[in-house]
Amino acid sequence: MFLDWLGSRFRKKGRDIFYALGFTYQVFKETALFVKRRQVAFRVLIMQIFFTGFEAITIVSLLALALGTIIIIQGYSSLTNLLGQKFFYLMLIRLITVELGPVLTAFIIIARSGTAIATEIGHMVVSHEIEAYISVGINPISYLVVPRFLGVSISLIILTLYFSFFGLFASFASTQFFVTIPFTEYFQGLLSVLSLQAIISSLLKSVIFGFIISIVASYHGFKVSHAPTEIPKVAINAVVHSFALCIVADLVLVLLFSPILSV
Amino acid sequence: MRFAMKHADKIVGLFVLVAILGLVGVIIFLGANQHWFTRNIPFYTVFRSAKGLVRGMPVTFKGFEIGRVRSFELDENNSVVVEFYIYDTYYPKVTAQSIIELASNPLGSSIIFYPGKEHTEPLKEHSLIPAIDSSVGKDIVRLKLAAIPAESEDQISAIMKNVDDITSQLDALVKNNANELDTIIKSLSRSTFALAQAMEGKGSGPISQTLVGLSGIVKNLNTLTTDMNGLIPKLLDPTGQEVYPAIKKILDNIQTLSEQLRQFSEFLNGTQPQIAGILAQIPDILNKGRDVMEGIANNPLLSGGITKEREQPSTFKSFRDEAF
Amino acid sequence: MNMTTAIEARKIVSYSGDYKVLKEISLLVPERQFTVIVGPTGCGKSTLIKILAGILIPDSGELFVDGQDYHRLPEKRLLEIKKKNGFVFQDSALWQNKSIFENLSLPLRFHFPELSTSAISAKICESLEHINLMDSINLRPAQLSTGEQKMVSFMRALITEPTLLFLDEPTMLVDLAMRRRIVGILVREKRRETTVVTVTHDAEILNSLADYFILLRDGFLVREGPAEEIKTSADESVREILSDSISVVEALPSPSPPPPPVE
Repeated sequence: MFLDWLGSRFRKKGRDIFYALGFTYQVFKETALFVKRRQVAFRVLIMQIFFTGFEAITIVSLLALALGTIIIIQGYSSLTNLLGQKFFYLMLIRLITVELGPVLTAFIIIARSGTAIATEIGHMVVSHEIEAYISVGINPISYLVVPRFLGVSISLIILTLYFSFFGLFASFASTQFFVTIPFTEYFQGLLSVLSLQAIISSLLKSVIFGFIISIVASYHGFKVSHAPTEIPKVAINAVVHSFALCIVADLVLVLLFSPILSV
Repeated sequence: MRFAMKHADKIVGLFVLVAILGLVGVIIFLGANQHWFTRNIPFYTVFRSAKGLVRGMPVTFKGFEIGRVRSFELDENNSVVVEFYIYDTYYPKVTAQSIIELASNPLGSSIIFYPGKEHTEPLKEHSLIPAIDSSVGKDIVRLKLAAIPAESEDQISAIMKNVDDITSQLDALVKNNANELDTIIKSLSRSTFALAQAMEGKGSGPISQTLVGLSGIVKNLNTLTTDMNGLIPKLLDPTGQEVYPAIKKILDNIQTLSEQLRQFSEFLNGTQPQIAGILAQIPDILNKGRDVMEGIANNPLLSGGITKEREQPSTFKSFRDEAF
Repeated sequence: MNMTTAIEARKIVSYSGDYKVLKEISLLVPERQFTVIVGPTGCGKSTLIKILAGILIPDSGELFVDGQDYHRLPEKRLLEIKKKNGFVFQDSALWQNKSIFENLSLPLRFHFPELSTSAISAKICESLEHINLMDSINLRPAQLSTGEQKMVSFMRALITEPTLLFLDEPTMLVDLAMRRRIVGILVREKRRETTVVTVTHDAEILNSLADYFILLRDGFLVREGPAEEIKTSADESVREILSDSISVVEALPSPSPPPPPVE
């Protein structure tokens, strides 16, 4: 009895994962065709970047400014006394640019856009709007998912960049409470420890988080079958799964990148 | 919001553009900072040992980074072939008879480049720059064909660097504890001054008093001993055979001692600053000594064997008290 | 009567979860005829018409459109077919996040990228004037009444001038005036010899417009054939389905039957 239940659960999970992988494959395939087609979906992409990226800039910059300040206030004396100037800059780059920037930005985007995408697509399924797209001949993946996929990924890269800029600027500003250093010296200090690998790792993380968030959110949105009551459930699932996958992906990337990053 | 929606295209364009320009700017600065855009001219050299060699290690000339180590490997003759490159801007320095040195010291290694003295055309890419300890390198050094500073620049620079680090640390320390240090140094200088005075007999401190006392005692003893048949010697030694030589010996010793003391005080006068340093260390040493004593005292085999001394106030302290 | 086949379905099986909605249905849809799918509610009519239109993919069975295996067609060929298709949904299924103008312009821009913006605008204005909704051109679908949405949905299907029109309950949820206008449109389409496939309970459509009948019950095909043949059939089950499924609309607006459990 229990074994049956367990077996059927595993079969169902397996089928879900298989379906999700197929979905992901479709998204990537349609994305590859997106540029070639120059479709009507370009406008959707712009709007997606507008909603996901531009409208989140306030909260992202607020978070970055606060975090940059907090790191300095909590850690300035111990960072500089124990480890010296070089490690002070190294810690800033590691914390703000490489680690917290992509992760916190991803969390903001999950909360803002992950839920929005899942509920919007879920609602479209319920009101047969998806079928309407198919009836016209428009592939919902290429028209609905690909712009969201690209939009969220691009937005996340851009927002991560802004997060780094704002976070490092806030660090500079709050360092002035402790010692007065000219901006050029601070900038030079950052440049001396910044490596291309750090930048690439930061951007790669944000791209992958963008992939995860958009695919997970739209996948769950499409999982709605009939009832509007399913929509809140898929929104929750989209958020939880995005969180989990982003953190796991971050861990994997950190493990992959740590040998390269070590100075 | 309606406005923003209407101009979504422009806003999104600006939003993306600013970020990308920022990124490109940072990358350009980074590249300039890390010599990405300069052409790197490869050379190689042969070292006896790879000890201290690290990939990406900078090649320096007069303290400037002029290139980096690309790779190194052991060849069939068991010598270490090191591939390195020199940045484009420093390429003209790489003239004939240039040599290269791998200087290792406990603080870390560095590769130092010495250009040939003659101003020739720069060496071709991939050519050998001999190591300073190779036979060619030794010849170059002996014939003074390369511009090597009189002293081995490295050791000095290494020490200087070391000193630099220490002073910077000291600086930080001083900054944090400036007031206390200041008072300590001031009191130290006063103390040493007082000590010097005491040694010269000008002061009124314990040492000068002791010296005065000592001379009194010597006088008394003298009078005592001249009267060999007096009461006291008889009291002490009825035969007169044992005490007199002993006392004589003591007196001789005292005389040499006082002579030494005089010399010492003169020396002290000349070396006031050093004493300050030694004095500063005294409490530590005393503490360590006390620890040792404590260890001995606690040792069951020895316990009771050594009389416990009462802790004495340090001279340092008493002098300071007096000086104030 | 010319009886070339527009669509041929072979052994179509469709599931909704574990429930078998369509049970091995094979049928023909004649070209340039007005075909009606009739059956009691919940018998799988909506699923069938969506499968015939290529919106839903059957779990097994084959679909031939213009003699070609529809689900194995290359994408380009598929789009050519879609370009000539129009589908009107039971619940309109307008794209809620687009204005009425955008709802109508998307199929045009998608299938006729060569059309200029002004040509598209002209076409949209013409069709909106036809249904007296010119004032609503910049409104969102949610700002329109259900009946008006249905009319826009009709216009969205017709704006690409399809030769194959699918209608799922075209006269449902509309008032009598609008119903009359819709019937007028259908009469026009019939005159143009557009191939029409419709699910309906509307007596007027069944009596005066239908050329070909497809009778369904409980997921089985009961009978298919030309209107005269079906109407005069002595078969008990045919008579039963016809009498049960036709709603009386002369006196009252067509009552909205509860939607079938599967969509």
